[in-house]
Amino acid sequence: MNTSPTDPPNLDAEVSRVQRRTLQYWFEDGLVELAIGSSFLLLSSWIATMSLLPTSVAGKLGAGFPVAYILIFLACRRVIRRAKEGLVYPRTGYVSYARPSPRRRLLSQLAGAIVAALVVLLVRKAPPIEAWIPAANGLFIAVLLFLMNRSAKLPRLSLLAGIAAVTGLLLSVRGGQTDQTIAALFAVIGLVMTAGGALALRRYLRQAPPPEGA
Amino acid sequence: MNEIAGASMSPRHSLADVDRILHEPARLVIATMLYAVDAADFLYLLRESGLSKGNLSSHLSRLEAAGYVSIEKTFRGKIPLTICRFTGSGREAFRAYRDHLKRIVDTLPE
Repeated sequence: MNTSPTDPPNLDAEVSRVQRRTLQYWFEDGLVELAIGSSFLLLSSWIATMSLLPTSVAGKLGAGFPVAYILIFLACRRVIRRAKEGLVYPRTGYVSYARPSPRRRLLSQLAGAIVAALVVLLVRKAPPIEAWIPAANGLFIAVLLFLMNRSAKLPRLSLLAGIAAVTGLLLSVRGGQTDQTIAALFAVIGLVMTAGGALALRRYLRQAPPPEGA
Repeated sequence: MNEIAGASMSPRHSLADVDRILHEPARLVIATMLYAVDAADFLYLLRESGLSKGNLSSHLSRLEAAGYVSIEKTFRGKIPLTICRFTGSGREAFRAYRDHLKRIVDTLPE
């Protein structure tokens, strides 16, 4: 700790700094980006597969997309927790964060399901505005990343949010089949995220050697 | 009536009334970290606080004795795990401590 927390005027700043530091600790090892990035790559493959199949089969696959979307991100949380238990907590310690209220969790899951359903609907039955669907998706992901990062304030997550927004916009301007451009958008975001996560994990593992006897 | 830096203060704003358990710098560092999370283990607190094992252990015991922190000792496989978390009264005491210090600062002359 660089500043003395007993210096009265700085106590609030110190609490904010420590809170930010503990939130940054969650992202420090890159596992979150690796898991979410892999999920985006999976979703990208799903949409790309849909676009290659005959409409009747693609329709069935599309109907399962919202469920897959939720299941993938739920599995993602479990994978992150397991990976942290095995890799991070023995090295640098365990922290559990205050859980969001059940109402907030339900709202997040509902919002996720609605977005997934909208993506499928727009991809399959897109009106003339379909060219802007990748831009809207990119912007939506950028906003999510921004919200995720608003307390931790990590530059690499802000950069990722920017990349998502710009990639979506560029894909919209470039044009092409909507499902393919969305698949491309998810692929770009997934690749950038997994690459960033892998680099962060490598740095973390170098800085935090395994505990003695492990 | 207590006098601090020449300012006249009510007894509830007095430095002498500050929670001595939390006012100790090392314990305040620990409390600040625990306030920010639901729970943290000994290893995390050790790394982030920069305290020695013995120091951290004795300050945690003091906070536990005051009823501010609960300490749960378990095992993850064969590795011992010490989970620390603020109790309700600890969290409340920390908030009261912050408010108290703020009020003291507010009464000081510019």
